[in-house]
Order: sequence, then structure tokens, then C-alpha cells
Amino acid sequence: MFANSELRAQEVSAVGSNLLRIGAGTTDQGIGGIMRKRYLEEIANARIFFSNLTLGLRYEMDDPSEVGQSFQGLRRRWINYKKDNLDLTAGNVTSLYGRGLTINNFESRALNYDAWIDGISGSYEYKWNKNEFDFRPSLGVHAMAGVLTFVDITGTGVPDLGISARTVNGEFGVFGKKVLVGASFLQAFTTVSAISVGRTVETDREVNQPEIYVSFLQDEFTGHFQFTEMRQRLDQVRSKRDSASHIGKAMYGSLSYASEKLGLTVEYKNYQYNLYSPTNPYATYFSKLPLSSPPEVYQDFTYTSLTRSTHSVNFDDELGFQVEANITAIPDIVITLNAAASSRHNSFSGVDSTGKAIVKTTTDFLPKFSDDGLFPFWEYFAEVEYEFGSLSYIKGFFHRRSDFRATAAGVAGNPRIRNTTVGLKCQYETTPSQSLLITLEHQWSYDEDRTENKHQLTNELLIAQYSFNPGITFGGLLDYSTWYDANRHFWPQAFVSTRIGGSHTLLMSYGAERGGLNCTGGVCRVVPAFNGLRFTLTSQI
Amino acid sequence: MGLVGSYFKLTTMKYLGIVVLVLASLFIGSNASAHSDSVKVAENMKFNVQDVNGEENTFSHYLGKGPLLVNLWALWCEPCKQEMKAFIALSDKLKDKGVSMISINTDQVKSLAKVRAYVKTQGVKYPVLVDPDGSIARDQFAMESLPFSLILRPDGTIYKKHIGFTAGDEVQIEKELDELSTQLGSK
Repeated sequence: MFANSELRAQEVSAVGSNLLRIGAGTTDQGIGGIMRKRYLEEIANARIFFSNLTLGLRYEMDDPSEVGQSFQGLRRRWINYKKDNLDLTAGNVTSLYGRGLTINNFESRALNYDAWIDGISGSYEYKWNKNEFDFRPSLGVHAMAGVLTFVDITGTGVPDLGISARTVNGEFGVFGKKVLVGASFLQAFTTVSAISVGRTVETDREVNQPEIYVSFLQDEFTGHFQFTEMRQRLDQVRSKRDSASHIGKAMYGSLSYASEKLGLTVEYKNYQYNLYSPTNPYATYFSKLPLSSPPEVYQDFTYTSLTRSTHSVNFDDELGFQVEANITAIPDIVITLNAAASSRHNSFSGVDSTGKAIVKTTTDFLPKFSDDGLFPFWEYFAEVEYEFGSLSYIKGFFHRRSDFRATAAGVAGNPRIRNTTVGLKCQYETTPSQSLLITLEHQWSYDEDRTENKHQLTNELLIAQYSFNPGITFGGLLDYSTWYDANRHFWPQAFVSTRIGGSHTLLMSYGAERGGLNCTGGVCRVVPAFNGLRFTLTSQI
Repeated sequence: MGLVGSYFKLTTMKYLGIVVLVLASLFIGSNASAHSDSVKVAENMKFNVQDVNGEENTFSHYLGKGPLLVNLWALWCEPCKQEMKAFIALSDKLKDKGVSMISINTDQVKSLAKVRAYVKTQGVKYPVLVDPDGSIARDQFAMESLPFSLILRPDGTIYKKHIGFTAGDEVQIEKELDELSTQLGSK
């Protein structure tokens, strides 16, 4: 479609991309100590367009991959037919309904998380024109069906989950979709086979999940509300066949105001896909399906110190909110304010006289901070940016966060982490084609996991880079912590990137990098520290 | 020995495949500005898109008589925000030169609610499309990294591509837009 003439013949056109990543060095595996680390990944993407057909392909090779399981071959292949308002796809398919409370089967390649299904999907939309109805109604339907073998990346001991799913979604819009009402239904069958006490345990689950959502856009205001109910029935064969059922639910809402000088967004979540209780023997089997991925409802920060250890959302049991303001009322000054908080519904407080865990369930609408067993999380952030020159700026930020390093099915007594972080970032255009960028971050941290210095530690980060456009950017990064991992206080790194035409970038870095918790789409994985040489070549063809 | 031989063959083939793919991408990517008028690519660009104000159009609707600058970005991407500032500063000047502009937000559901507020307060005057499911960036552009910008001809073919952004890139992009405008004007 967006084609090179070299690739076009008659009406065939193509577009593609290529990513080559190589690393050689060592990694800190925590308890496992320092180990040699080498990876090589090659990922080639192609889209071939012919008449109304599109062929999508992604080829992967690794030796081995940086994270997760190795894969060699065609990871993605699909064929798509589009004509007017009809859209049909067969092969690897993905969809998003509303805000993803029921269907948002996304992929995060950085984490090696993949919830695409192998199957078919199709959609059709009919729009009435203004002559027929003043309020311009539209009606759209979408359906998807297929199978997925889901590999859980959060633990090597978690067995693969076989999923067979079919979904249908309908959306009715008026005023050009400025008011939209949607409804979806998901039916899925899952199978998991695990070894327990030397015996294979087969667990089958049927999920029937209806949902509704409403969104609107009126002048400065936009809003969205979505609710789903996850009805489940489970059959498990141990020494005998057992059955259980569970109804989970999830709710999400957002309201936003946008004008030229003020933007204000409020989001609310109340996720109860599976309220964990240690008294329920089937508690771990009723979790949210990997096909769903609702909003996490906290800020995606761009500062390294704040992204190194982000909040890990427990979609099965978490409620909370986020408020963000963007203020541009004062010339040349941009102010961003953000606050987010959450806690769980269930907490456990010891055992009763029969030895059963005592479960306290809160029905509050807002997060509760008084009970550590509810894993309360809160953070607030303020950033002020002053712009001078076309792209020269200086900005400072202040951030505080309190969180618990909790396991998904955790119990009270998990370690608490509190951070206070301040930082400065400055970009100065020395000439119209050259610029200097400096970032300085300082973090005070209280971490109950770290026993030295009464759990107190500080982290410093300095990044400096200079760019000669359009060719080369080079710089260095110095990370320092009073805590040490792998006998290290300093993590120095140098990097250089260069562009070959506009279509290719080559990035090379050498030195040490701190690991951290990397979260994408609510999926979190601890990325181990790395020390060595990295090489990345990105191409858009 | 047989196993060792097989492993060696597999590894050699794997590395050979990687070398071929990388060289092919370097060669083809570097020649992307070549152009033929014989293909009406815009005919294939009639897929539906929606902007932050809820307006729906086909992608081809945004192709005009002059160049179209397409900018893909996300809220989590700091260089993207810098690039957007540069394009906002250029937008009036480019409009006078007959250049159209659109941007495509690629944030997923996590940040979708905040996109409109951010765009409005930044003073973006050109259309901002939303692509939370990747149906434009991934399926149509095979986008690999952000920020990513394209200059399209009126027929939808690619004139230039830009991966990444550092301050000063906008000077080069403006120069390329001028070049294309001149080419189109002289036809």
C-alpha cells in the first residue's frame, strides 16, 4: 500500500520492516549470580497488498532470544480482505472491544507476551447517511474465533493454557459515533494440565463473558463506561471429577475535559475477575483470560527511575483511580499533574479456630489505605516544563510512590516500597541541527526487601547526549545506587546511534544497565541487569 | 557426527538468512524514494480511520494535491512529544506551502483516555487519528519503532521515511517536503 516502486509489479505493493538485535556480555540473575549472556534476534515484517487483499507476515529467528522462549519461523501470517465496510481476516488475529475488558488480545514483544489467536475474524459496518437520518446512525458487527496456546511468562513452572474462543461484538453509534453503545460476548474453553503430587491434574474451564459499554464525545468532554461479567464453570479431574463455578466482574470508566489551556482526565477501575481466597481450592483457576487486558489506570512515565519499578496491577482484584491534568495556561510553561491510587478487595488476617484463613472483603467504591493486607498503592507526580527557543526546554519533576512488592495471589506481610524522586531534564539546541540533552534524577528509597542501612537507599542517574543531525547521536549514562546488585554500585554505559538515510537506525551501547520491573499492557516481567555490548539495527522498508 | 553436521548446517543457514534479510532491508529501504506513476496506490488506502474528535474518514481522504506528512507517536514516547512540538511549530508554514499533515496516536487502552486532553492542550491543529489496536501502524505500515514519520505523495506512495527524532530533524524534514512540493509543482 505504502509502496516502493522496486517492490511493485502491476497492482502489487509492499511495505516492511526489519529488526536485528545482538547482545554479548553478562547478566545478573539475582540468586543465580552473574552469568554469561548472549542473544541474537532477527525479526522481519512484510505487508503485501494486492487489490483488496493484504498478506501479513512476520519471520523470526533467534540464537537465542533475549527474553522468553526461543522461536524460529513464521510467527505471524494472516490474509486480510477489505472492501467498502467489510473486513475479513484469516490466520493470526487480534481485536480490541472498547477498552479491552473482554477482548484485547495484544502482544508485547519486549516481554515475549503473546495473546494473538490463530483463527478468523470479520467485521461489517453499515452507515446511514445524513439524508436518511439527521443523527447519522451506524451499526457495526465484529466476530472472531480461534485457538491459542498461551505461555505464561511470569513463571517457568506455570503450565501452558490451551484456549479455544469465539467472540461477537456489536456497536451502534449516532452523530457519527460521537455517542456509541457497544455489547460483546465471549465464549471460551480452556484446558490446563499440571502435575500435582506425582499425578496429572486436568482442569477444563468454560467462560461465558458478556459486556456492555457506552462512550460519548460532546464539545470538550469525552467519556467511556464499560462493564463485564465473567461467568465460569470448571471441571477438574484429580482422584475424582469435581466441579466449581465462579462469577467475576470488571468495571472501567473515564471522563475527560479538553480545552486549549486545560486538559483533565479521570479514570476509575474496579476489577474483580477473580477475588483470591486461600479457602477456595480452585482460586487460581478462575483468573482473567489472557485475551482480556483492561487499562491499568496509572501513569506511563518517561523517566527511567520511575519506570524501573512500576506498579504491578492485579487485574483479578484491584480497584482504583487516576487523575491527570495538563495545564498550558501560562505561555511557554507546561504543567502536568498526576495522581493514582489503588487497593484490593480481599485481605487475609490469620486463621480461624478450624484453621481456615480469615478473609475480609471490602465493598468500598474507592481504594482503602488503612489495611496493608489490601496492598494499597498510591503515587503522585508533578512536572513543570519551561520552553525557550523552538525545541529548547528545561523541566523538573517531583514524584512520590508507595507500593507493595506483592505476588498475584499474595498474602499480607509483603515488603513495602516507598520512593521519592526528583529530576531535571534540559534540552538545548546549540545550532538548528545540533542539540544537547541532559537528564539528572535522584531517588530516595525505602525498601523492606533491602535490609542494609535500615532499608534506606538512594539512586542517582545521569544521562547526557549530544546529537548532530541528521547523522549521529552519542552520549553516556551513569547510574549509581547506595545499594549494590552483583557487587556493583556504578552502572556506566556509553552509546552511539547513527541513521543511514531516513529508513535505518543503528544503535550501539556498551556498559552496564540496571534491570527492573518492565510492565506493558498490565503484563510485568523483571528484566535482568545486563553488562556488555548491545547492537540494534532497525529498518523501515 | 550427523547431529553435529545438522546443527552446523542449521546454524549456517540461520545466519545466512539473517545476513540476506538485513542486506535486503538496507538495499530496499535506501531506494524507497523511487517512484512510478503507473500504480494508483491511493485506491488501496480507503480503510476507515477515526480522529480524536470522533470524526470518521478513509485514510485516503487526507491525501491532497501536495505532500502529506504522517507522524506516528504515543504518550509514553518522549522523543515523539518533541517531534510533535516541532511539527506544530511548522504546521502553519507547511499549510501555506500546500503540505497536509496528520498524526496517528498509537497508545493502547492504557493511555487512550488521555490522548485528546494532551492533543488539545498542545495546540495541535492538524487531524490526530487514534490507532489503539494497531490496525494502521502495525497492519498498514509494519511500524517497528517510534517515533516514525512518513512523507507521502498525493497517490499514497512513500517519498521519505524517518525513524526516531532528535532536535534538528525537523529542518531536514522541511527540506524534503519543499523538494517534493517542487517536484509535484513542476509536473
